[in-house]
Amino acid sequence: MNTKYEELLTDESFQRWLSHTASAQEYKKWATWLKADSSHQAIFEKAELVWESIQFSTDPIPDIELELSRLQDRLNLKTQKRITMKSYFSKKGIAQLSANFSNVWHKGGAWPRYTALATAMFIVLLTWRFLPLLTNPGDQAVQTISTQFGERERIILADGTKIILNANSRFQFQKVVESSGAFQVELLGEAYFDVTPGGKDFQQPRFLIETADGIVQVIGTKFTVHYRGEGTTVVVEQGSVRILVSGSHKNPGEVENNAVVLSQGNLLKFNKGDKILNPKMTNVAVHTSWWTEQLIFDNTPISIIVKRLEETYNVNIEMQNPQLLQQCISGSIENGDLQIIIIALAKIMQCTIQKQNDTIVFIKN
Amino acid sequence: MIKPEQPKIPDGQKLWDKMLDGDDQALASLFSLYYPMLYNYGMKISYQQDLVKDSIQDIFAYIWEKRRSISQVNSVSAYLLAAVRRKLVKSIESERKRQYATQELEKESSQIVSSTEDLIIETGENAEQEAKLNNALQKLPSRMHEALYLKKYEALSYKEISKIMKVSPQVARNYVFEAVQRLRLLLGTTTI
Repeated sequence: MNTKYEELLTDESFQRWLSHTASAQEYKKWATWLKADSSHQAIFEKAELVWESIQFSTDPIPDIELELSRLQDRLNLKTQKRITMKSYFSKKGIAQLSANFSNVWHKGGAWPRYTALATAMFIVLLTWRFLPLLTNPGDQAVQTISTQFGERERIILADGTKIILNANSRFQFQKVVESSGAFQVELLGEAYFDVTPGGKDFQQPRFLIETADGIVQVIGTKFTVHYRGEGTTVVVEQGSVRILVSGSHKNPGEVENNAVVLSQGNLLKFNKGDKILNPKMTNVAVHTSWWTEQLIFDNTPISIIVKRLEETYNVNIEMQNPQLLQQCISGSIENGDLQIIIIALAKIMQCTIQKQNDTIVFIKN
Repeated sequence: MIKPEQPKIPDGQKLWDKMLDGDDQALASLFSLYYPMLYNYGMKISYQQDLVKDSIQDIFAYIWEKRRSISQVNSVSAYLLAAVRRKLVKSIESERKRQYATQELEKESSQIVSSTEDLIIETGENAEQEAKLNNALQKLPSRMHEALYLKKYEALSYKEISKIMKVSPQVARNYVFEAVQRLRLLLGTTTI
């Protein structure tokens, strides 16, 4: 009688039954067995106790992705991530991206690596341009600087001022304001400014940045300006800027009513004609990280991130469930290329990615 | 309305075939898919994390490099588990030989390092009984422990366990039988 337990517990069908992996047939068989004899219930309970008592601790698993790249390094399968080549995002690029995505599965494990080609297609190209000629803005050759999708331009002016023009943006020198000697530029798109202090007595604006919504007056500061047709957003990382909202007054010299000074940590989104201006405190890094190595999010709605990716990479991104757009995420993602960002985002959102025509669709797992 | 395709469920066998055809993404997927299982099993055989990690690296490097001469396998998981075991046992043996070059080795004990501490017995109420169980399980022969692990944790068949542990299915079954018997005796279920 004593061997009864061992016999049962070494029976594979019985084991499956205890582990709830038995087939319907097996289940029926054991249910019948259970009722066949009044002693079977007690036997079952004790057998189950023994079986359940076998618990193995599991060790923390090492970083699988790291281990995988070790293997790929060793077998020379590693993709080259940082290829700088001038190629923009064609439909072919998206096709290649999706071809890789189709191999991506997600079930708790690490993500497979991607091929070099698609990676290179979606990298943001960063070019450098030195502009000693800014002192002569009449020079037609340097009046306009524009970037394509997936292209970023770093402009260094003779006085050390740095401007980083984001993808799909245009930067146009308008004029030198005679009274102050400031440069007036027009921005369409997005740019980060690190303006070297100067000007007359360090008091006069060095820069006037104009969008359709108004003018940003700068003395010497670090900030970012975003304008893509739906209001202008200015975020100040360091120093302060003065915003003159366009409306009835077009000339910055005359405007007083709808002007506001933004200081460090402030964000202001404004539209042409706005009367009430409400600068808010913000996590500056969220707005300036687009040109750095890490994209930073701080309770940022997915909708904003998606919009930014679409603006930067000329892709369409959709959520199968539009409610996903309202979700907010915090943290950072390597700002390497579109594919890395998309995959990281999908991982965070627990989504799989599919390409439908020219659209990348996120599908909740 | 575009109907989305079903998300792909990883299938070890299909990935294996693709890998044999030279698909390096399939290799990556296989690696990610089986890594937790192989690592956990490896840690049951050796305590040395780095040794287990390196062994898994070696195995995947080997199957990739020899993919043209590797045939189809009946069970990818059993194949890989067996490879982990073979690799680790070999490493441990050569380590022992190095350490105790002058000593005669006991055959059984040289095979694998026992790691029974990780066998946790959850009896719940009775602390005294629990201590007794744990104490007894420290002495559980390692092969019995290993067979029990593969059976209970990985839910492998005796046939698969026999291939991994290089014993007959009947012996694999006997290991489980005996391990279970010890547990039952300790849990005091001798009387009905």
